[in-house]
Amino acid sequence: MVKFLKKRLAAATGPFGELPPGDVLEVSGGVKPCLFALADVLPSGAYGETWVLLYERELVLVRRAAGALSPAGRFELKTGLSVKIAEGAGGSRFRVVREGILAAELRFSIRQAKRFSKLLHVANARIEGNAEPIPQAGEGFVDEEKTCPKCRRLVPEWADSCPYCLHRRRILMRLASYTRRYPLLIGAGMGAAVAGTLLQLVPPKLTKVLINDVLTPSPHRNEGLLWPLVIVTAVVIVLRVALQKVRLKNLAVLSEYVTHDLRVAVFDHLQKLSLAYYSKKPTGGLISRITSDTDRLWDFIAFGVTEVVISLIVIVGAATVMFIEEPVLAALTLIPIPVSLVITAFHVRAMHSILGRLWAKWSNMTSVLSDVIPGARVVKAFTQEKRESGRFTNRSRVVADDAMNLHTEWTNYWPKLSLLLSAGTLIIWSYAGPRIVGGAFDLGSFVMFLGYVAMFYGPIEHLGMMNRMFQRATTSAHRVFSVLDTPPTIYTPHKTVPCGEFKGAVEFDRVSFSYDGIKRVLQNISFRVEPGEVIGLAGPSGGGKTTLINLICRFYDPVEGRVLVDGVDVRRRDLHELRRNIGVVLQEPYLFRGTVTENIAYGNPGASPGEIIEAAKAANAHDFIVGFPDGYDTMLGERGQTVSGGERQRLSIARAILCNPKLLILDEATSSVDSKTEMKIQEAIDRLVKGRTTIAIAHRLSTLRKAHRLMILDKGKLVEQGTHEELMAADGLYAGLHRTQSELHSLFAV
Amino acid sequence: MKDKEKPEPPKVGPADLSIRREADGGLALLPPGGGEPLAGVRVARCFPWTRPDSYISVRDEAGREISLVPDLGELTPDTRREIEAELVAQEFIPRIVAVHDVEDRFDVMIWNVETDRGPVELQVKNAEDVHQLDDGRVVVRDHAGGTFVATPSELDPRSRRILDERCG
Ligand SMILES: Nc1ncnc2c1ncn2[C@@H]1O[C@H](COP(=O)(O)OP(=O)(O)OP(=O)(O)O)[C@@H](O)[C@H]1O
Ligand SMILES: [Mg+2]
Repeated sequence: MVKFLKKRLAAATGPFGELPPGDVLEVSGGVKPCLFALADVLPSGAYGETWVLLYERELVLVRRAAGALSPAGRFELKTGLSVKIAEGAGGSRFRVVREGILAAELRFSIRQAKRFSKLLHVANARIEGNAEPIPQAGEGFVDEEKTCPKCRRLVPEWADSCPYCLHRRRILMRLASYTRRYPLLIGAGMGAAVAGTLLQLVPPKLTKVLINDVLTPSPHRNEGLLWPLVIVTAVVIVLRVALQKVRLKNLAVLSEYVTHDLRVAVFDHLQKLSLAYYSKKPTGGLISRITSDTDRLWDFIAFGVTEVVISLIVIVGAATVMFIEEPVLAALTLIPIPVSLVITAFHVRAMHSILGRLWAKWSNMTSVLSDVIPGARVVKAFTQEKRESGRFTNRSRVVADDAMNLHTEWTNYWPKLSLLLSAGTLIIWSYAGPRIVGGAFDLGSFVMFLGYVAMFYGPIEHLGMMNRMFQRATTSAHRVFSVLDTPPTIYTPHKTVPCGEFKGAVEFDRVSFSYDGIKRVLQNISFRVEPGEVIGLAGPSGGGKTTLINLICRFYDPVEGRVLVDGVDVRRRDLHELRRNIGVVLQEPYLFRGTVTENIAYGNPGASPGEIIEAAKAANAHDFIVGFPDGYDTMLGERGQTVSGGERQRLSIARAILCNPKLLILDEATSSVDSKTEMKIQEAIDRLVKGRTTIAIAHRLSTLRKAHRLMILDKGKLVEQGTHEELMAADGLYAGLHRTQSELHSLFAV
Repeated sequence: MKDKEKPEPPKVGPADLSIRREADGGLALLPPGGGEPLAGVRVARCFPWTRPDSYISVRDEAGREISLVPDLGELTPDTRREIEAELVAQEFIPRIVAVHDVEDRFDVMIWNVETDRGPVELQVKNAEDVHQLDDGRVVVRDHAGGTFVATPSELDPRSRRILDERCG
């Protein structure tokens, strides 16, 4: 059984450690390989285990069949050998070819793809005789997933330690640590809660005296006590209400502060996180962490925590008094408790599963909203309003149907518990009733006791609810902390290299990059750009142009090689200083909700109106802005929806220009404007780019006329570079693209 | 620096398509008019989920289409065998035959399932990674990008219930 389990886990999580399993190592010769990978699929398509170990001079295959390991091949890394990966859907094949003949073919699932991709790259370099350095973990940002050494589970990227093994209590302690900043509030609130609860224990006792000594006709009846007793009861009640007020007020305020702190902390931290994090997490999920999760925590701190504390005090307090006063009756009171606990446990489990399901259906419903509302224009253009309504109706109904289960479960549980607890009361009645009648038991004690019983059963009735609240709160707290625990992958190192004045020289030194660790989007790119040079970057769509400038801005770090700005690796520079000196116009210009002025001055909020107009003029935006009734004070809608695509581009050019960057990057900056406007912008940029390094990406090659040098990227490779004339003479990809565009041009000119 | 584009691959109708397996394990196209075999041929399903067996695209190494096969029946038997074998060998989409349990662990769901390829444990990151196709099949995508598919109507009631709980 254990073996079966281990095998399953191995297939599930793969060999994420530093070394392959010891027995595999032994069979392969006992030496630590440079790299290794697990081919987890057999030729038949079933899960299996074949290890690929890459050494300095050879490639070794080890297969496990029926538990026994055996060598499955050994290949010397030399000319004539080649390794390949044939990609497929969900899995791929790793092929070793010797002198043109297939020597080995291994299947692996996508789980193992990162390892294989790395191994392939290094193996082929070794075959060619290059001493390719082994990519180290942590060097590039694409890293292996960590697994927990204890449970072998995947540790999510954001967590330092395995959250599965982390005890829930630790999360609550962490939450509690946020309240420590407000000792007065928490002291007052909790103090009031405890005092109020203890006061609650007094009235039944008074009732006993009232009944036995005042109301019951007997020789030692003391009528004079009546009013004092009533007054004391009144005072106790007033005090309790006052304490309740103090408690609610202080705790509500406390949790407002705490959730505010948490919200701000999460937002602050999100600002620090790298782009890679944002592209992995759905936006809606991140928003809900800041909004609804913190809100749920508010509820929990304000009411949940005290509810639990109060319930505990009540249970312990009432039980203590009950056992001191009437031990026999107290024991009888406990009879229904075990059964109610069992019922509650089942209820909690059922609720948990229903809530989980409901949550999934709910998010399924809201996903229609986040999909359709921003796409309203497309829906209308294709007249699909009815279908979208139908889609939403269906999913909403599914939610409603499922919520019925919730109510059914709830309404089934309550009566059962009520019945049980009432049964407890009945037991007490049937035990005490005959004894009261017989005079062996006094009425006052009995009524007092009933008061405590009600107090004792109360929290038990709420047990299910409290548990649910508790679970939801810990989950929310975890979701919030998980953001806070994510380290930014891109950050300024502790020791930066002082760089002096920013000049704008860019150099790529054998840079390779991959978004997912499998597919290489940039391969071994090297080039140099001198300060003040104007570079045109062109090539087929998907060639990696935007990716390349993402690396210059250090939105991502390369997997291999270095990106240098002014001769210093960008990873050693101060991140903010770097980005401040780079002006970018992104391919999809994004404007914020706000005025035109605010948007243009986004990177430089202190700019004077004169400077803002200068920048707008340079971007050829001044004229259309003045044409708006509100001029520069025009409000733009969310994402800049209220202006045209070309206008949006020009506003974002103005924004980049206003920062007066030493390095200007234009990613298809003029793709949505007409040729005449483009020409004007081009002229303005030409004026502006004097003394600045400029990297301009364009599909319309005519845009790049003024470039000193052109670089052509195709499928992640820098295939050509040189001046227009040189590239035309070389008659390669650029010349081809250029010819096609000129033909098109003359076609339209006719 | 000079890197001329490779010549366009020939366009071939399904009936004239002739594909064979090379010694290095790859597929090659035998051009209809004769001549050098074109190595590095790839095949892909256009609708892998909705109509897997129609519209197979045959492409060259650079991803340019050589032939679009609306129906495998139009091919010569040898070529059809090669293409079908290749399609099966390049895919790895285990079919879930039983769901033992699903644990919720904060951000991650741990699925403990039995597939036609063997037992496996999946770590699923988002609720959206479990979704139902229009034909009722449920597709589960795990953290690494692996795809697993289940047909609820073929599962035992317990598995079906768990599956139903997890997808909207
Ligand atoms: N965030 C991302 N995650 C994963 N893959 C990506 C991401 N962004 C881009 N890619 C992939 O990387 C490759 C290069 O993309 P890139 O945006 O650099 O192309 P490009 O040359 O700018 O193309 P275009 O001219 O169309 O803008 C493409 O295959 C694309 O699918
Ligand atoms: Mg781009």
